[in-house]
Amino acid sequence: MHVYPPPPTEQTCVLLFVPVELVPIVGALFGRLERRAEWASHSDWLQGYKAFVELQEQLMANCLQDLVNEVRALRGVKPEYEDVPLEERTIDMYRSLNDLLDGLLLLRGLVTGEDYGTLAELVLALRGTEAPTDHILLALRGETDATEIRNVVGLLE
Amino acid sequence: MVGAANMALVQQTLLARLRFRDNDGAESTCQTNLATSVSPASALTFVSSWRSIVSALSSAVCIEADVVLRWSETATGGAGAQSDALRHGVFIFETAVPDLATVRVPSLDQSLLETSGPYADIRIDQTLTAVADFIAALTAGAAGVQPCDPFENDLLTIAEAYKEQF
Repeated sequence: MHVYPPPPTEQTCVLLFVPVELVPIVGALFGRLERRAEWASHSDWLQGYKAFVELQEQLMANCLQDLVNEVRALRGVKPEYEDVPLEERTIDMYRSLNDLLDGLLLLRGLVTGEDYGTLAELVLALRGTEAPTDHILLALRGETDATEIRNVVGLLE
Repeated sequence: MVGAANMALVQQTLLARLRFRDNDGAESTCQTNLATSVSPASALTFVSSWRSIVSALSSAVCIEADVVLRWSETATGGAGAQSDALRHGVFIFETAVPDLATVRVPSLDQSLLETSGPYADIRIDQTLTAVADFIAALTAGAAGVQPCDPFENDLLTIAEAYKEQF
């Protein structure tokens, strides 16, 4: 018989890795705690019932795989592995964060070919002019107000 | 095939039951039968009165009183070879509060489980007609009656459905 414990002053939880083949058994154990007889009072039962049904739902949320998929989506699959089905892909088939950084640096390098260019040079390339303005650089840094941004857009048009 | 065909239902005596709990938390019941002619309302009145009479004989505390209306099948087919009362289908519903509540189906037929994906052989396939009918009966009601959770919150939508196994 259980008394539903008071929550700690600082709400926290425990991350538990449950092998998927154990979900039916772990779920059954959680399910036992839905019974009124397991709890000391109606109030304890009310809280305990809700808590242990929610835990069963979480068992089916597959949250770890969701996290893995989110990270993989962020990294992006390497072009040569795009045809490999999702469930057959391995960690080395995805780009690393260094790959992503290299991609950004290559974007800057568009201005000067093999050499990495500067932000100012990139702006020049976008405008097709050799005269950078402070307004454009400030706009790209998010340091201008709405009126100035409109002016900058006008310059770029 | 999922489930054996049902035969006719025949009413049995009403069961009046009192549940007692001792100082260790262990529970046991005191029960008696009432004739089928007794109405549910009268049975409830009986249990309410009977509760204090029985409590006078017991050092445990009465924690619950039930009236069980019972019907039995006149005949049943044989249970399937793969049937197992320790295996359940667990249907988790969102309620009006919102909260979650469960309904369990004994000896869930294994053919109703998903066959692929990370929860293959665990998650119940909600696209199957028999499963969809079951969910609809609980969320939309059946015979004009809307089911609820133990705290009287209506079951609204299905949140998850999986197989549990003791």
